[in-house]
Amino acid sequence: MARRAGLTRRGSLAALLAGLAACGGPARTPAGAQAEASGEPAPRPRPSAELVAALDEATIRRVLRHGPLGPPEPDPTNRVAASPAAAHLGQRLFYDPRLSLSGMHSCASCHLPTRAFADGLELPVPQGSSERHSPTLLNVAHQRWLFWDGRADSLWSQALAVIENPKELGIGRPGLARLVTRDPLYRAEYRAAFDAEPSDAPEFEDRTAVHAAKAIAAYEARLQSDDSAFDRFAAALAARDLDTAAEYPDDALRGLLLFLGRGNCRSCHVGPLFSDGEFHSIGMPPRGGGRPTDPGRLRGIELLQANPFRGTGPWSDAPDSERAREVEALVRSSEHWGQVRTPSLRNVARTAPYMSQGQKPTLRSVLEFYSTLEGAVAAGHHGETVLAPLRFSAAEMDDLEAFLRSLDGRDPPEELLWAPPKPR
Amino acid sequence: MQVRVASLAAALGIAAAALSIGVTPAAPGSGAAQAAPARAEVRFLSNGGRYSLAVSGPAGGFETGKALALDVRVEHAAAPGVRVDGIALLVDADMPEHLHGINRAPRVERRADGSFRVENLFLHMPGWWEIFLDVVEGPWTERAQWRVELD
Ligand code: HEC
Ligand code: HEC
Repeated sequence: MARRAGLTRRGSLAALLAGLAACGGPARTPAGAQAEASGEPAPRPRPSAELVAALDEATIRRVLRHGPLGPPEPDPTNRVAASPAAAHLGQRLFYDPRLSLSGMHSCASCHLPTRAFADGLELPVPQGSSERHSPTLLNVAHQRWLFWDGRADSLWSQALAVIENPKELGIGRPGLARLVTRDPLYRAEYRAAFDAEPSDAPEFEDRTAVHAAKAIAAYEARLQSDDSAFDRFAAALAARDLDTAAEYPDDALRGLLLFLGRGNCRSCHVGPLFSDGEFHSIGMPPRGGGRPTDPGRLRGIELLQANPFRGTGPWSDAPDSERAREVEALVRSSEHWGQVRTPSLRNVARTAPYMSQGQKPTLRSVLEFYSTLEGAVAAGHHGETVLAPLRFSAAEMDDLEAFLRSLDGRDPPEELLWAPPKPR
Repeated sequence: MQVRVASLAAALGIAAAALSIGVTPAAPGSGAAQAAPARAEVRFLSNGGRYSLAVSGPAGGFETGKALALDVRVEHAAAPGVRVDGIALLVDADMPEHLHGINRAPRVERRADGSFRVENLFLHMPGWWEIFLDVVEGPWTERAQWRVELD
């Protein structure tokens, strides 16, 4: 309580300082600057100042669990995860349609830089390539388990899976090794990244392909999208700078408080990505109706533990690391049937449609689902009962939506958004 | 040997956790403790009253989404301070309100002094968790459980 009073006092002190700053101080907001120019009295308290001043320590602590977003933890199983030379090679590969059997698709066909590295489709084209929706790759290096079912434990093994899958890119490890070995530009960039020659000889092609996949992972690790309005709010709260915190719009703040409070969204959407990184079923009705058919995490663990390209496997750069060994500790249980990974909510306003099969077209329709649970299906015999209809009012849904929109981060640097130019 | 028994059984323990759904969650002997302060030791009886457990929670308290460690000593309830020998400890956890358990198997290791070190206890959601500490002595298994609230 004492803390809270202190905060409130600081809040009004901050407001006072803001008023003083109007007399020629730096860091004016445009609105304030206008008021000053037109000779009006000091600007009214910004819309969320009162809400911010009323935040107690426990709530602030909860807010700070989600931001500001820091850099991802490096992946020890990929020696070149932070190497600029490897990222450069990986970026070229990411945009290269020669990675597909048809010669027409690259990673960027389904992960478009102009669409927050998703594709804006319910299910990807080419049709039939996947029964699941293409997720954004922004901030993907923060994910512990990749794919909706978490069947990959590193970005590099995820990339190999796509390249291997004949329904997706399909050139396989031999094809990838051949491309990198025979194209002189790739050859040079491979040499720069790995200090070794690529080779497509049968005994070396796996090594070459794994290296190329690790280079793609190094590129993906740079697709950081932070500095959202929420991050700026959280940073201001962390510094107890309530004046800056009050710049966060009041509807977003009410939405955030609902998200952390009555909505209980944070029981799954918790942490810097607004995801626990784990697997749940929310009873989302499958595409085309009927009962759920996607086994989700249950199969995901099986595939992961059998994958030779997992973190504890022979191609890993740190098979004994604590992080790699998490794979072997995963519990297989029928309760995982139908569960999918809690999606990150960062940049969510830019990545419609939603859900693992693209079932929901808009944020509003997602919120309506949580509000009514209309059509909800039980995934398996151990359906999670965490969800009850939340019966949001229209105003509450507006607030939640404003909050979700405040999670839009800035794009990665311009030069990462297309294939690097070819040297002349 | 103990270690192997413990981890094998931890894997089998999933079934036990699943069965426990629907059972009255916090038994009388349950440690009524909330999120423990740093290294605070909590004492509670097993559900059948046979054992007294002294458990030190993770340094810094229980954190959501982190691999946590516990130190556990098992003593005779009838003779406090007297260690129980020849036992194995199985560790599992469950969220009674969400009908699900943990996604990673904790590692349980028996130390030379007869106490147990539990690692990799990964509680992935905020909320009410019951941590199950099953003491296996010969053909008997007796459960002790500890309620923790994670923020
Ligand atoms: C045909 C469309 C398509 C192509 C081409 C494609 N992806 Fe994807 N990507 C998807 C879909 C669909 C998923 C989700 C599949 C699932 O979860 O089962 C996905 C998932 C991912 C994920 C996991 C993201 C997460 O949050 O778990 C990563 C990383 C990724 N893709 C990277 C790549 C890379 C790198 C390439 C090129 C080597 C690539 N993708 C090519 C459609 C595509
Ligand atoms: C029990 C865990 C859980 C809770 C609680 C929960 N979610 Fe989710 N959320 C998920 C999962 C899992 C999915 C993906 C489901 C699927 O694809 O079938 C999801 C999907 C979403 C999506 C779509 C994201 C995308 O990119 O597809 C949004 C938005 C969302 N949730 C917001 C919320 C809000 C707001 C709340 C609180 C009212 C909430 N969630 C509560 C687990 C949860």
